[in-house]
Amino acid sequence: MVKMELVRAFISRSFLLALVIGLLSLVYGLADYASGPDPKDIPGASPFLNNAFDAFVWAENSLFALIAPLIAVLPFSDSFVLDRTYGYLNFILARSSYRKYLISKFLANLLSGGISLAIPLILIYIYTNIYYPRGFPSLVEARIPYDPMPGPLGQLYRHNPDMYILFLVGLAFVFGSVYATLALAISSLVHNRYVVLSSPFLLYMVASFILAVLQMEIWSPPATLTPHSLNSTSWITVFGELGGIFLISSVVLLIVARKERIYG
Amino acid sequence: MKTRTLLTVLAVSLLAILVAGKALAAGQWYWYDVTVPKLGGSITTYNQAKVATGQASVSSNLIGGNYDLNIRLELVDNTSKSSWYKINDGTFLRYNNTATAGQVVHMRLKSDLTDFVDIQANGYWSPDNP
Repeated sequence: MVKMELVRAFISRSFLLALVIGLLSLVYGLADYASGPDPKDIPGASPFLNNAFDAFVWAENSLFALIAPLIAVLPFSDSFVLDRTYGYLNFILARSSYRKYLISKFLANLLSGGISLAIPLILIYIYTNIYYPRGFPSLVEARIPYDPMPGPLGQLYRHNPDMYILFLVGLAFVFGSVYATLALAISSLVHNRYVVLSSPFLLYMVASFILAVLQMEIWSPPATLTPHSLNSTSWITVFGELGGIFLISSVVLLIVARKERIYG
Repeated sequence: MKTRTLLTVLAVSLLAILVAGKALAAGQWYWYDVTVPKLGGSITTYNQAKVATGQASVSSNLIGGNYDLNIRLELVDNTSKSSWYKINDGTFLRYNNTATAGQVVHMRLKSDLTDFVDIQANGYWSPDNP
């Protein structure tokens, strides 16, 4: 059952679309990073003024960070609604238990959500490593002049940037899993696939706006994906928030998506 | 006679130091106090003429909330003359650029796409390296 759900999640046009949108949004961020004069034309500029590490961080903290919840839910989060709407669930339940079905869907959705964010980031990091030099200019000349970088593991950035970027990719995986799970939980409450696909993104935007107005921006959802984008983020603000959303979503899914409730 | 020569040498040396110092520390600081629009919006400082070809400077005093901002040097027609740089509270930056002496430039300040409120910022900037 798990294998079947994984195949449905990963071998699909929606998953491919998520990867393409993720990549395009990162390219947009990279274009912003590369805008301006070529460093070779700037007198006195360090050969590392533009570098693989800053380019990655810049690309991630742009359009990608804004639309990440939308990318994460695309591959599989509406499948529970579609299975019910088109009667596919009845065929599955003739061969397997509802409990197995729900756990399989939960796992496949969680993995596809995480991987749909992680793969574009890995690809763009490979690209920046090929296209830009690997090294930093001195801190006074740097385009990201922070040491340490704000947020969890920020001290790694200038001393072990590969590890820091690995951490950011891992964090993106967790972020994608959490928002995909949130969408799956919402899909147990509503029957419209478009509501399911758009709700996590809308909640993300509304929460970001309200928290910013209340001057509680360190709890702003985008800071759980790019914790270096704000000064005072911490392990608690990042993983406390993601853990909270995951916990609430899982509980809602367990309670609301019981077989007797789904079948009314 | 010896004392007079010595005094002349001393005076000329002092003058040379002053002139060289002035040349090295070209330009002056200008205060900026702006509100940068949210969601990737941007705003510029007033235009100033660049005194010498070379680095531009920024000494950020305060950026509202926990945010940081992006800055770059531009000509009056908004052509970029430097890469984007991140600045935060208290960042002091001297950045290389392609603007030359005599060109009129301004500094652009831009928020991130994930900044959901307007951001107040103030500090000093210079088109040169004072």
